[in-house]
Amino acid sequence: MTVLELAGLRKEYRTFRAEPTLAVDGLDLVIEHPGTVVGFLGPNGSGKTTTIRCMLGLIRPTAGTVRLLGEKMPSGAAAAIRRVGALVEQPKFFGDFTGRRNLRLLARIGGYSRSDMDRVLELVGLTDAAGMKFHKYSFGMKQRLAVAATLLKDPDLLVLDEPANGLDPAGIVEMRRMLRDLADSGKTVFVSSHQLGEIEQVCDRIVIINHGRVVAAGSVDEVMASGTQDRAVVQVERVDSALAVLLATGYEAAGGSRPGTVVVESPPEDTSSITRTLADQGIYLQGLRIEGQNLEEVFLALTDGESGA
Amino acid sequence: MSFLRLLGSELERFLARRLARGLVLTVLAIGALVGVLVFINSHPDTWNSGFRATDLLSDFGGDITDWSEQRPTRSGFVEDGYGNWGNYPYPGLEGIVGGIGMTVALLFGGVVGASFLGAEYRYGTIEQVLLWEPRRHRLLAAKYLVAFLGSALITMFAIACFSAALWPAAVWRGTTAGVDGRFWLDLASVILRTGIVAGLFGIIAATVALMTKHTTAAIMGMLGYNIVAGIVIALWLQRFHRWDPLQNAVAFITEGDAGKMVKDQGWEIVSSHTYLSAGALLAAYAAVFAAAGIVVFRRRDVT
Repeated sequence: MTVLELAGLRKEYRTFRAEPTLAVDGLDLVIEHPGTVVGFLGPNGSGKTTTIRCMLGLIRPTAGTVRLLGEKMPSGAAAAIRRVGALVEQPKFFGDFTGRRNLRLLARIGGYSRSDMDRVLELVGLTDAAGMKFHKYSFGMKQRLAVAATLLKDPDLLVLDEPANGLDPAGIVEMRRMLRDLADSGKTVFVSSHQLGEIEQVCDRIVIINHGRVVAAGSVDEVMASGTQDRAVVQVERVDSALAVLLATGYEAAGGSRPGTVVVESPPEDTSSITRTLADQGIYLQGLRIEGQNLEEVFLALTDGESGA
Repeated sequence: MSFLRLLGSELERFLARRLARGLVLTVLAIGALVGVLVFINSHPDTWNSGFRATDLLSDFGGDITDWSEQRPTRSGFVEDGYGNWGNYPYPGLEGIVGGIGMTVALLFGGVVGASFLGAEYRYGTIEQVLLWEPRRHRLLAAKYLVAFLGSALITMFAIACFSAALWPAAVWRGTTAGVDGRFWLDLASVILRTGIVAGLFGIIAATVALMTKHTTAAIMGMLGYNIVAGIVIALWLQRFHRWDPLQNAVAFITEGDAGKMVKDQGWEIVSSHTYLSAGALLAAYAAVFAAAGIVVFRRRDVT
């Protein structure tokens, strides 16, 4: 079954005075692999949150269709939403209520028991702080409570907007492990995050949007392949000579950021040729490694270097 | 998701709020203050000047003019025919407790109803709840029901507290003559009707807060209407008098006829419709507001 299907999704925000703002511009997206973690990336203002809100029936698209877990949204929201746990932007709870009470208000709507609440509070490490008022929570704790609320339904699909915000390194590792475990147990996790390194580590698939449109989608490897080339970092004693030889041979090369290194833009299979070219000129390598592109570079290349994810 | 579970959650949300607890404490404090002031200012030495228990009904809006004089009383609450009040039970306190039913209903209904919906927008929790119950008409119906119940219960509690606060003055410094089964029934019915009016005002205030996404705007709107409407209607919209929600609220609480302004030599008020019709009209206003709120909420983007 298709987990999520967006077809020609378009959303314009209209105001009385200003021109309409186009937030999502004919976005098409299909996620049909249950049990995967899907990363949803895009610069600030690219339409990520608007897309998520449309998915969840919180806002009505100007055009296009949304199918969530097979249900057409927003008409089928009642059936779909009970199988979806979602955190949109930042945690939204009553500040004067304790974490447990905030959770109980939601648990009550869904008919979940105290033991269900205890289970998710333990899962996010908030058991001891459940009696504290929400406004006294650190940002990371607020985030954990919001994640606990999404897990309460034992959902088939988790939609998490910046779940690692405010978490300390240990919390981030824990969150990553949790997302992976959830996916391994057959749930689909749709996660938007600024932390591209985290996304790269935890996600099976990635969707990158810019200006309200999908610019890349696929497995992590597929998306990475669509970005910049790999490069070889050569460590030599005579940098200037090595650089001159490589440039003369037609390589695209430059001095590396570390002393004694030269960076050569080339696919991995060219490394033997680089080695031979330098050796022929009496320049012997002290080291060579292939520096793979990272998601950050791919992201920047695909989004014209716009900031934020 | 069961509607009853949703209702239970909304009710818990309401009861757990600081505002609900704060209003209860405020009511108790004001009740105690009024009770003490009335007690101190009534005259134990003057046989016929103490607080008359049966005055509770007129104080809170009950229409007792048709039968109270037939009751035994030792109050000297009389006018001498020249506009001078003789032996007034609590000098200096005129107007403190007299005819406050509608005002309390408007105030508490406005505050409770507006803040209940306004807080959802202030904290952004409306989005959180919609991720659990996406059927917006059901969610709003539950919220309206809780706004009605909350406003009504707090107002009824307030009127009951104020009545209880005045009781010692009647027992020890005045008279409880005339207090019988009918008195208690009438007092209970005044409290109940005031509660109903507060509940209906609560729904109207909740709708205004929903539309403006702002608690203060809704409360100010309700109270502003209270201040401005009377003047505007008297000066320019005399024919609207019979439809004025506040006039109909007063008529419903006091079990009196709602009036309409007719022009003869000048404008004068004559009977228009009964208190039951006035209550029905008020309920119709609240229903129209609620329906408008549901239409707006169903179409609104939650961002």
